[in-house]
Amino acid sequence: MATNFLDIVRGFPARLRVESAAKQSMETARHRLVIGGILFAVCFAVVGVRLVDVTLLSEAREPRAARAPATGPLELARADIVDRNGVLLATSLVTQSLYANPQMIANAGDAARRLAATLPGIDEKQLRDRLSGENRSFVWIRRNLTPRQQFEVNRLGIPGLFFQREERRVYPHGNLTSHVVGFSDVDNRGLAGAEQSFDERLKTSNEPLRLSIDLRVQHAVREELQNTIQNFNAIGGMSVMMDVTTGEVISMVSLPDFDSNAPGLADADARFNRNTLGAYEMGSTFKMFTVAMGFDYGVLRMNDSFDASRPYQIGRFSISDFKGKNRWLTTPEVFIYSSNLGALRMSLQVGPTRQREFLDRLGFLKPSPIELPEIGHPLIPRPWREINMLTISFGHGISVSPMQLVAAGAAAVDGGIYRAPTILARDDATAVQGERVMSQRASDMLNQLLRFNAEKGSGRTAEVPGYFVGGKTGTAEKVQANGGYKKNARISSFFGSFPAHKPRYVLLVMVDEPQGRRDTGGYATGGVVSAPTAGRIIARVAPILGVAPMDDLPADLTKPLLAAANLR
Amino acid sequence: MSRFVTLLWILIAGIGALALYQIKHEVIAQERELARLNRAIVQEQESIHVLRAEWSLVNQPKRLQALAERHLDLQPMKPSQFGRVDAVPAQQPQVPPAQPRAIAQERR
Repeated sequence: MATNFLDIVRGFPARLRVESAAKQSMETARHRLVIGGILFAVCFAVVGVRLVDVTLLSEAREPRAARAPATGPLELARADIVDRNGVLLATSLVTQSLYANPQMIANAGDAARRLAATLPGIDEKQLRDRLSGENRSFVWIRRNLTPRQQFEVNRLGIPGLFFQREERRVYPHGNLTSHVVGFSDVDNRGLAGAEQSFDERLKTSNEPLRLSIDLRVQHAVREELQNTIQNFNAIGGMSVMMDVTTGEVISMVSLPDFDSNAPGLADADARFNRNTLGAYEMGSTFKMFTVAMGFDYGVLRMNDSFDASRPYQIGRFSISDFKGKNRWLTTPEVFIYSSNLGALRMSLQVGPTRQREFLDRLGFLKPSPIELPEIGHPLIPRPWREINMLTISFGHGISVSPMQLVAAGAAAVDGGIYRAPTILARDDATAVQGERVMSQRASDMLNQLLRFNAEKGSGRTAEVPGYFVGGKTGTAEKVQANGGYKKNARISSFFGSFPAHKPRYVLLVMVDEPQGRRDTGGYATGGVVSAPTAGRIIARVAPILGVAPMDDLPADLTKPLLAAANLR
Repeated sequence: MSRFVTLLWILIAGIGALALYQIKHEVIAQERELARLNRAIVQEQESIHVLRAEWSLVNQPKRLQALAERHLDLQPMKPSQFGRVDAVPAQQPQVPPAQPRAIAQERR
């Protein structure tokens, strides 16, 4: 086949072939040459085609453009944290850190002396020892220099000093959001608060993390709480405000607090987030759950009366009322006079098993699901005996965190739907699916009582004209280390909702160990300390939150209760 | 004839080489410019970032409140200061057209 093909190529007719040996070898050589030539031609053709392809067709773009450094948005090791309105709460700034290679430093003593004179807070002797170390080639001298310090160090002109580009976390609002935002260390690891719980998210995405906190509200709450702590010479205070429709935490303040920029300077007490890590006996504020429980199980009506005329004896214990009325009380009276005996008798109709089940539904028996690393476990009785049931009905014998109380309270006032509290801002588009934990009717009746208490009872001092607060006060004596109760060491609290007929926000204010003042008649109870604070807070933040003031509440909200309450 | 063709080719090759040289250097210069601009952009971005942090710092609610108390004659809003749209009468009373005030123009 090959011979025939080559014959045609050469153009010789087959019959002219000469059959001699010499001609034969000549012929073979020619064949080989032609085969080689074709091979080369094919190779060149391939190279040529590829050349045209590369230069003109497939790779026709500017090849170098891809190598130019692309400039997108600024890439940082940690994303920013902002509040719900986009105000910067935490950000990373690029700084220069100074390090030295001791091998390259000629005169360690001289270098240490001049560096100590330039940078404040450097121990000259210690630095000299570190710089004269023979076998080290890397020594940090100072992390995160200011641009001015960097300039000064450069001007010293000491060989062997180098700068490393680093990022430093700064918190422009310092103390204001210390417990929510938390802080991170010099190596950009989140060590507390949102910085820790969203550490991975902050490192992997450059999008700012938007918290549910409203900084303006946070400021108002912190300022009012601080004033109250000062006025009553208290040792601390805490407050949480929550949007009941979404579960978003609008403000969370725990005092004393610390500067997120310098957490190392703060003591353990200041770093302690009382709202989530602390567990407290809530006292009378808890009675709102006792009445809600009674309504929900259908064993309690507004017109029911309870014997509060004499102390209740169980075993060797005797339970009585603080400044009791010593008579039978109706449900609204039990609530506004905050009768322990009334609450206790309500719980007797429910029983320990159902009480435990009800509190479990409201999230009191497990740690709060909020996205903070500092979460305390509630202290609950095991086993849950009758004596526990009785004390729990008025808020003793169970210790829960303020965050748990707020989340449960939000469910109780918002139609009985529990929504997990969150510190992340929710998008308006996503409807928050809650979980029904009590009946709508029980919630409506509780709202009536809360409003009634703010009109006639211990919550009067929280009333804000136009915004119509509903709420319950509480004063709990603190548990001592040895188990008994401390006299004159109490936590005064107020749980409030506004607007009272259809609550949108709930607020808890607690003040730790307030001391009575002469102008309060020596009292430091929830109605004297915390309720007025909550009132001032609500008056300040309601316009910020866009709650429209009203002239009047729906008239039938508390009217039915007036008949039931035998007010004198 | 063939000499002329050869000369022409040499000329074309020479011009081509010169043009290539010129373009190459232009490209190098432009790349340098691009890198410089990119560096400047990154620097600007870092500056903006720092300024944003500073903006947040100088807007601390505590500081704004202190400044407002010192320099402004404003009070916190009271519930009585809010009005409702449906409380506005349907028929607007006749008001002479207001003169634009100088202060409104000053503030953009």
